[in-house]
Amino acid sequence: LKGDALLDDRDIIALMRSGNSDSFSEMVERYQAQIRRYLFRVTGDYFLAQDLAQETFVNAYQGILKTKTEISFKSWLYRIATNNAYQYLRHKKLVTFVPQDDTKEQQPQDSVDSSNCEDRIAVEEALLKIPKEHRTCILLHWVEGLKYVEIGAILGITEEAARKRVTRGSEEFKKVFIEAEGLER
Amino acid sequence: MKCYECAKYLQQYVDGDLSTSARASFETHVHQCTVCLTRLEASLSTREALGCLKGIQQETEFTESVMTKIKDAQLVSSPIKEHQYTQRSPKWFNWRFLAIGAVAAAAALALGLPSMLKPNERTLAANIALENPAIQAAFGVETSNPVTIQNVIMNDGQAVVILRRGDTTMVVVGVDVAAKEVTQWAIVDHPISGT
Repeated sequence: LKGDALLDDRDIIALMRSGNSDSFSEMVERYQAQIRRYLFRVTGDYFLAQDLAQETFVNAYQGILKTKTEISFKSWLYRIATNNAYQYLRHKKLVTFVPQDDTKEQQPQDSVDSSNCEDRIAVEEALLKIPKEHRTCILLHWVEGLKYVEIGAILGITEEAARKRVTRGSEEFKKVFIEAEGLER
Repeated sequence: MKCYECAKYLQQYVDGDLSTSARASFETHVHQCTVCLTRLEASLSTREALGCLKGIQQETEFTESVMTKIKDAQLVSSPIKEHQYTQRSPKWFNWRFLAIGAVAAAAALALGLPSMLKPNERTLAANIALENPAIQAAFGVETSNPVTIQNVIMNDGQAVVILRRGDTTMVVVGVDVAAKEVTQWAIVDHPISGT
């Protein structure tokens, strides 16, 4: 695509609908890091997150030509990613999954920027100990930087419900995180 | 400021988006209310802790892999070809396979291919199949991987609709468009393997 840096999501979708399916690669480039990071934090498994992220983009590609969604492409991607993650967690009953030490070692070290982040592993573990509905909300808000109204649109809940989940999730996270740090000391 | 207002403006306060007067009102309330102070502390500490999870690098191979999968999926979702069935597990060579094959072959022979169809008839046939409760139950509840219409073969008000979800489930549905009803249907699980 020439000059594709100037194209916004709607332009690329229009290109795709006119038959230029390769233009979707720009969408993947644009959002892959965010979606991979989000799925990694929701599932706690780097390699699983990679697979789910690929599935998310394939689902998005298949859906984009057939459906017209009222939300932004970015929010729609997060919605698909969340559904894929929930589906996996439901089936594998990993809602309270906490990664073992050997799992952490398998995670590619260069995939995560760990600068100024001495507590990263403790944060990851604390995150995985809170309910997935709350974990999802605080990740979308505090890590992905989405507003409550966007989170509501992604999860199919009201803006107020999204705000409450973020607040509740933050309280739960703080409690678990502090308890874990207290045990270490 | 009341507690419910404090909860409402919590994010804006944390993000520094409140006006000076609203910020002062917020802080006055928080200093007097332990519940709201706890919420504020939780939000601030969570934001700070989760801040270290923001880094992740772009992967060029990822995009290539996705685009390859999409191209593969496009091949799979093209009209069914005979060779695609030859790669299935032998356990599927049972009466159900033969019955579905017979239905599809009979329909193809009776209707003649390519069929001279009106697009709206095909759409109507597909919708009748998709909206049938038994067909929906056959696919189960799953929102992330939508059911797709793979093909519709029809003539003179009679249709064979082929629906599928990913590579795992395919349903062949006979539809009487004039009567707006499903006449017969059958499931093929894992119709394609090794592709």
